[in-house]
Amino acid sequence: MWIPIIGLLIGLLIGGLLPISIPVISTQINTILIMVATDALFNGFLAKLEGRFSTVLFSIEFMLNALLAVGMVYFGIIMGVDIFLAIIIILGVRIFHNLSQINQKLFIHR
Amino acid sequence: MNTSWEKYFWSGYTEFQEPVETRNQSLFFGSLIFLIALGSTIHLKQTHLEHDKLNLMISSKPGITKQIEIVEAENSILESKILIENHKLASILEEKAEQFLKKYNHLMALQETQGEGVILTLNDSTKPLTSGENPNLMIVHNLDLLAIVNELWAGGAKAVSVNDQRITAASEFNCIGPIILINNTRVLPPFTIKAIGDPQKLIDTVTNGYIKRYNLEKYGIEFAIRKNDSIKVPASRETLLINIKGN
Repeated sequence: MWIPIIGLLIGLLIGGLLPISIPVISTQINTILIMVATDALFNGFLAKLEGRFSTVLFSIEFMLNALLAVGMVYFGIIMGVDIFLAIIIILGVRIFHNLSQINQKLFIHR
Repeated sequence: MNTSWEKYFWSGYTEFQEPVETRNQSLFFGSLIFLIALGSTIHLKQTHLEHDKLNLMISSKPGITKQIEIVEAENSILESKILIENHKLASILEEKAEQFLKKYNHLMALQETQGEGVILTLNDSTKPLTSGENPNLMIVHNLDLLAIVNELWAGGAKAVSVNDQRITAASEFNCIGPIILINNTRVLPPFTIKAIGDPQKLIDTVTNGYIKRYNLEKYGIEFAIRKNDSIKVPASRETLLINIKGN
């Protein structure tokens, strides 16, 4: 229960203290990774609430999603097409859909 | 499992899950949240932080994107300063050009001038040649014209024209055989030289100068000079290129 909170704190600390900086070209890839992680988070949480959560499945699903999204955005950057926005929209739709399902599961008393 | 919130939280469970599985689940969610936090902070630090307050040990430079914005802002300020200085320079150069033009206006001779002055007439001699006389002495040469015009300038003339050819700083008196060229156009005798200036002074300088010294009247070269109250001297048809140095 408290591991996610520790994860949050460690992420904030390392992100704040480490002198890592991203090359300016790949800000889109960084944003895509954050969106994919958020999507996997909500998807996993919904699956956990519905009782069909399997760690292996969702870890692999997250990694493959990340690979696919980063690949598409990278090719979009190289070819000059702005695929980044399309992927953001699709992931956003999924996030909001999952969020509504979680809402139904959590706050509607059956 | 006591609070209603936790009841809602676990209400989706249909079967018992082992503790290891729960720990793995927590690790999964924890790592996802860790990644999100890491990516967001790195990105935001790079773009929005003006001074790395947290990162005291390593460097005190702002994020790279913020640096770029700061430098671009300085650039635009400097560019506007450059524009202002360019405008000032342009106005100063304009002023200098106008001063220059005023100073040498009479030499550039771009306008038709009018005023009081003198009119001279020169013509070749009509006396018949005697034997042994050099016929070259009977005609008006380009050097005669040049000398007379120079004396007019020395007498304070403001505008001079020979047979409607305005004499400028770039005019020449060319002798090509039997013809005189002024401003690359032929001028033929009789020569009418108009000069604008103080009439008495002009008459004095010319009559006491070249004509007298070389005694042109002896050879019969017709020469007459008279005052005139309103003389119009035409504008020069040539254009001059002038280089103005800014100093």
